[in-house]
Amino acid sequence: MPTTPTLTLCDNLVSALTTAWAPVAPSQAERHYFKRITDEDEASGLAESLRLADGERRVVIFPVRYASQYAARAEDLFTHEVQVLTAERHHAAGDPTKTWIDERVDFVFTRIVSGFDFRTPPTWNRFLRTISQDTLICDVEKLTAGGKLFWSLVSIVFEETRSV
Amino acid sequence: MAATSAVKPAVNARAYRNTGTYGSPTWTNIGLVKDNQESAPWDMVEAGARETKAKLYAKTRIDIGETLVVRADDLDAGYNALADAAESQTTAIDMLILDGLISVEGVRGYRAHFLVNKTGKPMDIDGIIYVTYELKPTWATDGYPSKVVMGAASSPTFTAF
Repeated sequence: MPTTPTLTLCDNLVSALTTAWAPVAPSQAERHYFKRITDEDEASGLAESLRLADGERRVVIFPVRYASQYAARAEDLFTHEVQVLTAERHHAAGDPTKTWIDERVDFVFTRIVSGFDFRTPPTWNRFLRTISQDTLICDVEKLTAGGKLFWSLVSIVFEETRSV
Repeated sequence: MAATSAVKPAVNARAYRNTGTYGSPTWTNIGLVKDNQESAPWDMVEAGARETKAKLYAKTRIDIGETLVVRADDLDAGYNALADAAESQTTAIDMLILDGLISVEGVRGYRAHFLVNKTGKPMDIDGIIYVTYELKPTWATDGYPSKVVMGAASSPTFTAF
Protein backbone atom coordinates (compact mmCIF):
# COMPACT_ATOMS: atom_id res chain seq x y z
CA MET A 1 0.00 0.00 0.00
CA PRO A 2 1.39 3.43 -0.87
CA THR A 3 1.96 5.84 1.98
CA THR A 4 1.77 9.14 0.07
CA PRO A 5 -1.51 10.77 1.12
CA THR A 6 -2.45 11.74 -2.44
CA LEU A 7 -2.06 8.16 -3.64
CA THR A 8 -4.18 6.94 -0.74
CA LEU A 9 -6.80 9.51 -1.69
CA CYS A 10 -6.79 8.35 -5.33
CA ASP A 11 -7.19 4.73 -4.27
CA ASN A 12 -10.10 5.71 -2.05
CA LEU A 13 -11.68 7.60 -4.94
CA VAL A 14 -11.35 4.52 -7.16
CA SER A 15 -13.07 2.41 -4.48
CA ALA A 16 -15.84 4.94 -3.98
CA LEU A 17 -16.45 5.28 -7.70
CA THR A 18 -16.40 1.52 -8.27
CA THR A 19 -18.96 1.05 -5.50
CA ALA A 20 -21.26 3.75 -6.83
CA TRP A 21 -20.86 2.92 -10.51
CA ALA A 22 -20.64 -0.91 -10.36
CA PRO A 23 -18.95 -1.18 -13.77
CA VAL A 24 -19.40 -4.31 -15.87
CA ALA A 25 -16.09 -5.72 -17.21
CA PRO A 26 -14.13 -4.72 -19.14
CA SER A 27 -15.20 -1.25 -17.94
CA GLN A 28 -13.37 -0.26 -14.79
CA ALA A 29 -11.83 2.50 -12.71
CA GLU A 30 -8.19 2.55 -11.66
CA ARG A 31 -5.41 4.78 -10.38
CA HIS A 32 -2.37 5.33 -12.54
CA TYR A 33 0.19 7.95 -13.54
CA PHE A 34 -0.43 7.75 -17.28
CA LYS A 35 -2.27 5.75 -19.94
CA ARG A 36 -1.83 5.54 -23.72
CA ILE A 37 -5.26 5.83 -25.28
CA THR A 38 -4.91 7.69 -28.59
CA ASP A 39 -5.25 5.83 -31.88
CA GLU A 40 -1.48 5.58 -32.29
CA ASP A 41 -0.96 4.52 -28.67
CA GLU A 42 -3.47 1.69 -28.93
CA ALA A 43 -1.49 0.20 -31.79
CA SER A 44 1.83 0.59 -30.00
CA GLY A 45 1.57 -2.57 -27.92
CA LEU A 46 3.20 -0.82 -24.96
CA ALA A 47 2.23 -1.94 -21.49
CA GLU A 48 0.01 1.04 -20.72
CA SER A 49 -1.69 1.28 -24.11
CA LEU A 50 -5.40 0.83 -23.61
CA ARG A 51 -7.29 -1.06 -26.29
CA LEU A 52 -10.80 0.02 -25.50
CA ALA A 53 -13.24 -2.70 -26.53
CA ASP A 54 -16.79 -2.06 -27.65
CA GLY A 55 -18.70 -0.81 -24.62
CA GLU A 56 -15.58 -0.51 -22.48
CA ARG A 57 -15.54 2.66 -20.39
CA ARG A 58 -12.33 3.46 -18.55
CA VAL A 59 -11.97 5.90 -15.72
CA VAL A 60 -8.38 6.64 -14.74
CA ILE A 61 -7.57 8.74 -11.67
CA PHE A 62 -4.23 10.51 -11.86
CA PRO A 63 -2.41 12.06 -8.89
CA VAL A 64 -1.11 15.41 -10.13
CA ARG A 65 0.24 17.48 -7.27
CA TYR A 66 0.06 17.97 -3.54
CA ALA A 67 1.07 20.67 -1.09
CA SER A 68 1.07 20.82 2.68
CA GLN A 69 1.20 23.48 5.34
CA TYR A 70 0.71 23.80 9.06
CA ALA A 71 -2.97 23.73 10.00
CA ALA A 72 -2.77 23.36 13.77
CA ARG A 73 -0.13 22.43 16.31
CA ALA A 74 -0.72 18.76 15.62
CA GLU A 75 -2.16 18.88 12.11
CA ASP A 76 -1.08 19.60 8.55
CA LEU A 77 -3.38 20.79 5.81
CA PHE A 78 -2.81 18.91 2.56
CA THR A 79 -4.00 20.18 -0.79
CA HIS A 80 -4.38 17.39 -3.33
CA GLU A 81 -4.72 18.00 -7.07
CA VAL A 82 -6.17 15.06 -8.96
CA GLN A 83 -7.32 14.50 -12.53
CA VAL A 84 -9.99 12.04 -13.54
CA LEU A 85 -10.11 10.82 -17.12
CA THR A 86 -13.16 9.13 -18.59
CA ALA A 87 -12.54 7.47 -21.97
CA GLU A 88 -14.66 5.31 -24.24
CA ARG A 89 -14.55 4.45 -27.95
CA HIS A 90 -17.50 4.69 -30.28
CA HIS A 91 -17.19 1.41 -32.17
CA ALA A 92 -20.37 1.57 -34.27
CA ALA A 93 -20.24 2.81 -37.82
CA GLY A 94 -20.75 6.50 -38.42
CA ASP A 95 -20.50 9.46 -36.11
CA PRO A 96 -21.41 9.10 -32.45
CA THR A 97 -24.91 10.44 -31.91
CA LYS A 98 -25.74 13.33 -29.62
CA THR A 99 -27.60 10.90 -27.38
CA TRP A 100 -24.50 8.65 -27.10
CA ILE A 101 -22.35 11.62 -26.15
CA ASP A 102 -24.97 13.00 -23.73
CA GLU A 103 -24.96 9.71 -21.86
CA ARG A 104 -21.18 9.85 -21.31
CA VAL A 105 -21.21 13.53 -20.40
CA ASP A 106 -23.94 12.79 -17.85
CA PHE A 107 -21.87 9.90 -16.48
CA VAL A 108 -19.00 12.31 -15.84
CA PHE A 109 -21.29 14.81 -14.14
CA THR A 110 -23.10 12.23 -12.02
CA ARG A 111 -20.25 9.92 -11.03
CA ILE A 112 -17.21 12.19 -11.07
CA VAL A 113 -18.24 15.82 -10.61
CA SER A 114 -21.18 15.20 -8.27
CA GLY A 115 -19.82 11.95 -6.88
CA PHE A 116 -16.58 13.59 -5.76
CA ASP A 117 -18.18 16.83 -4.55
CA PHE A 118 -17.43 16.35 -0.87
CA ARG A 119 -18.78 19.53 0.68
CA THR A 120 -19.63 17.17 3.52
CA PRO A 121 -16.67 14.85 4.15
CA PRO A 122 -17.18 11.27 2.93
CA THR A 123 -17.56 8.47 5.47
CA TRP A 124 -14.18 7.01 4.45
CA ASN A 125 -12.32 10.21 5.29
CA ARG A 126 -13.93 12.65 7.71
CA PHE A 127 -11.15 15.21 7.13
CA LEU A 128 -11.50 15.58 3.36
CA ARG A 129 -13.39 18.16 1.37
CA THR A 130 -13.59 19.24 -2.22
CA ILE A 131 -12.33 22.73 -3.00
CA SER A 132 -12.84 23.10 -6.73
CA GLN A 133 -13.52 21.20 -9.94
CA ASP A 134 -12.80 22.05 -13.54
CA THR A 135 -14.21 19.87 -16.31
CA LEU A 136 -13.31 19.40 -19.95
CA ILE A 137 -16.71 18.12 -21.11
CA CYS A 138 -15.49 16.40 -24.24
CA ASP A 139 -12.36 16.64 -26.38
CA VAL A 140 -14.03 17.07 -29.76
CA GLU A 141 -10.81 16.55 -31.72
CA LYS A 142 -10.44 13.07 -30.29
CA LEU A 143 -14.13 12.33 -30.83
CA THR A 144 -14.03 13.31 -34.49
CA ALA A 145 -10.70 11.59 -35.23
CA GLY A 146 -10.45 8.09 -36.66
CA GLY A 147 -10.78 6.34 -33.31
CA LYS A 148 -13.92 8.28 -32.30
CA LEU A 149 -12.77 8.53 -28.69
CA PHE A 150 -14.89 10.11 -25.99
CA TRP A 151 -12.41 11.84 -23.69
CA SER A 152 -13.42 13.90 -20.68
CA LEU A 153 -11.03 15.21 -18.06
CA VAL A 154 -12.03 16.55 -14.64
CA SER A 155 -9.43 18.38 -12.54
CA ILE A 156 -10.27 18.37 -8.85
CA VAL A 157 -8.63 20.04 -5.87
CA PHE A 158 -9.21 18.50 -2.44
CA GLU A 159 -8.18 19.64 1.02
CA GLU A 160 -7.40 17.18 3.79
CA THR A 161 -6.47 17.82 7.40
CA ARG A 162 -4.00 15.22 8.61
CA SER A 163 -2.60 14.55 12.06
CA VAL A 164 1.15 14.76 12.47
CA MET B 1 18.85 17.35 27.75
CA ALA B 2 20.00 20.82 28.66
CA ALA B 3 18.51 23.80 26.89
CA THR B 4 20.27 24.70 23.64
CA SER B 5 20.49 27.91 21.70
CA ALA B 6 18.17 27.70 18.67
CA VAL B 7 15.19 29.31 16.99
CA LYS B 8 11.86 28.43 18.56
CA PRO B 9 9.30 27.48 15.90
CA ALA B 10 5.87 28.62 17.06
CA VAL B 11 4.30 25.46 15.70
CA ASN B 12 5.82 23.66 18.67
CA ALA B 13 4.08 25.91 21.18
CA ARG B 14 1.45 24.00 23.12
CA ALA B 15 -1.75 24.51 25.05
CA TYR B 16 -2.19 21.69 27.55
CA ARG B 17 -5.21 21.13 29.76
CA ASN B 18 -5.05 19.26 33.01
CA THR B 19 -7.03 16.02 32.88
CA GLY B 20 -5.71 14.92 36.28
CA THR B 21 -5.82 16.70 39.62
CA TYR B 22 -4.20 20.01 40.48
CA GLY B 23 -1.56 18.31 42.62
CA SER B 24 -0.94 15.45 40.18
CA PRO B 25 -1.67 17.00 36.82
CA THR B 26 -1.95 15.06 33.58
CA TRP B 27 -1.14 17.51 30.82
CA THR B 28 -3.08 16.69 27.65
CA ASN B 29 -2.24 18.63 24.51
CA ILE B 30 -5.08 20.34 22.66
CA GLY B 31 -3.84 19.40 19.21
CA LEU B 32 -6.42 21.41 17.30
CA VAL B 33 -4.93 24.73 18.39
CA LYS B 34 -3.77 26.57 15.28
CA ASP B 35 -2.54 29.91 16.55
CA ASN B 36 -1.90 31.36 19.97
CA GLN B 37 -1.33 34.97 20.90
CA GLU B 38 -0.02 35.49 24.41
CA SER B 39 0.19 38.73 26.32
CA ALA B 40 1.23 39.42 29.88
CA PRO B 41 1.71 43.14 30.43
CA TRP B 42 2.07 44.54 33.92
CA ASP B 43 -0.04 47.41 35.08
CA MET B 44 2.35 50.34 35.54
CA VAL B 45 1.70 53.09 38.03
CA GLU B 46 3.63 56.27 38.46
CA ALA B 47 5.87 55.99 41.51
CA GLY B 48 8.31 58.86 41.24
CA ALA B 49 8.75 61.92 43.40
CA ARG B 50 10.95 65.02 43.09
CA GLU B 51 14.25 63.15 43.13
CA THR B 52 14.46 63.19 39.34
CA LYS B 53 12.73 64.82 36.41
CA ALA B 54 12.26 61.41 34.80
CA LYS B 55 8.94 59.75 35.49
CA LEU B 56 9.36 56.60 37.52
CA TYR B 57 7.03 53.63 37.49
CA ALA B 58 6.31 50.53 39.48
CA LYS B 59 4.70 47.32 38.35
CA THR B 60 1.61 46.32 40.29
CA ARG B 61 -0.26 43.39 38.71
CA ILE B 62 0.37 41.24 35.67
CA ASP B 63 -2.48 40.76 33.20
CA ILE B 64 -2.06 37.33 31.62
CA GLY B 65 -4.09 36.64 28.51
CA GLU B 66 -4.07 33.93 25.89
CA THR B 67 -5.90 33.93 22.57
CA LEU B 68 -6.28 30.50 21.00
CA VAL B 69 -7.54 29.81 17.49
CA VAL B 70 -8.85 26.25 17.46
CA ARG B 71 -10.22 24.08 14.68
CA ALA B 72 -13.71 22.93 15.56
CA ASP B 73 -14.20 19.19 15.82
CA ASP B 74 -17.27 17.75 17.53
CA LEU B 75 -15.40 14.63 18.69
CA ASP B 76 -12.26 16.25 20.09
CA ALA B 77 -12.16 16.34 23.89
CA GLY B 78 -9.90 19.39 24.03
CA TYR B 79 -12.11 21.41 21.72
CA ASN B 80 -15.22 20.39 23.64
CA ALA B 81 -13.63 21.39 26.95
CA LEU B 82 -12.97 24.87 25.57
CA ALA B 83 -16.42 25.10 23.99
CA ASP B 84 -18.15 24.00 27.20
CA ALA B 85 -16.13 26.43 29.30
CA ALA B 86 -16.88 29.24 26.85
CA GLU B 87 -20.61 28.63 27.24
CA SER B 88 -20.40 28.52 31.02
CA GLN B 89 -20.27 31.59 33.25
CA THR B 90 -18.14 29.94 35.90
CA THR B 91 -16.25 26.94 34.47
CA ALA B 92 -12.49 27.38 34.40
CA ILE B 93 -9.90 25.05 32.92
CA ASP B 94 -6.57 24.32 34.55
CA MET B 95 -4.19 24.90 31.67
CA LEU B 96 -0.48 25.00 31.01
CA ILE B 97 0.33 27.19 28.04
CA LEU B 98 3.90 26.96 26.82
CA ASP B 99 6.04 28.42 24.06
CA GLY B 100 7.34 24.95 23.15
CA LEU B 101 6.98 21.28 23.88
CA ILE B 102 6.52 20.23 27.48
CA SER B 103 9.46 17.87 27.08
CA VAL B 104 11.93 20.62 26.14
CA GLU B 105 14.05 22.15 28.88
CA GLY B 106 13.87 25.92 29.04
CA VAL B 107 10.38 26.25 27.54
CA ARG B 108 8.38 28.95 29.31
CA GLY B 109 4.74 29.74 29.88
CA TYR B 110 1.94 30.12 32.38
CA ARG B 111 -0.28 27.87 34.40
CA ALA B 112 -3.64 29.08 35.60
CA HIS B 113 -7.29 28.26 35.90
CA PHE B 114 -8.53 30.07 32.83
CA LEU B 115 -11.97 31.40 32.09
CA VAL B 116 -12.75 30.96 28.41
CA ASN B 117 -14.45 33.53 26.23
CA LYS B 118 -15.50 32.79 22.66
CA THR B 119 -14.74 35.89 20.63
CA GLY B 120 -14.89 34.67 17.05
CA LYS B 121 -16.32 31.85 14.97
CA PRO B 122 -16.32 32.76 11.28
CA MET B 123 -18.36 30.43 9.12
CA ASP B 124 -17.57 31.60 5.60
CA ILE B 125 -18.96 29.43 2.82
CA ASP B 126 -15.58 28.23 1.60
CA GLY B 127 -13.94 27.89 5.00
CA ILE B 128 -13.27 25.35 7.73
CA ILE B 129 -14.57 26.48 11.09
CA TYR B 130 -11.95 27.80 13.51
CA VAL B 131 -13.04 29.29 16.82
CA THR B 132 -11.19 32.04 18.64
CA TYR B 133 -11.07 31.75 22.42
CA GLU B 134 -9.72 34.38 24.79
CA LEU B 135 -8.47 33.04 28.10
CA LYS B 136 -8.10 34.96 31.34
CA PRO B 137 -7.02 33.63 34.77
CA THR B 138 -9.55 33.38 37.55
CA TRP B 139 -9.86 32.35 41.20
CA ALA B 140 -9.22 28.76 42.15
CA THR B 141 -8.91 27.22 45.58
CA ASP B 142 -6.11 25.01 44.24
CA GLY B 143 -3.77 27.82 43.41
CA TYR B 144 -3.30 31.12 41.66
CA PRO B 145 -1.59 31.77 38.33
CA SER B 146 2.09 31.04 38.11
CA LYS B 147 4.85 31.34 35.61
CA VAL B 148 6.40 28.12 34.41
CA VAL B 149 9.83 27.10 33.20
CA MET B 150 10.26 23.51 32.04
CA GLY B 151 13.17 21.60 33.47
CA ALA B 152 14.68 18.23 32.70
CA ALA B 153 12.41 15.21 32.17
CA SER B 154 9.31 17.36 31.60
CA SER B 155 9.42 18.63 35.19
CA PRO B 156 8.10 22.19 35.48
CA THR B 157 9.09 24.83 37.97
CA PHE B 158 6.08 26.90 39.00
CA THR B 159 6.58 30.33 40.50
CA ALA B 160 3.63 32.27 41.83
CA PHE B 161 3.34 35.99 41.24
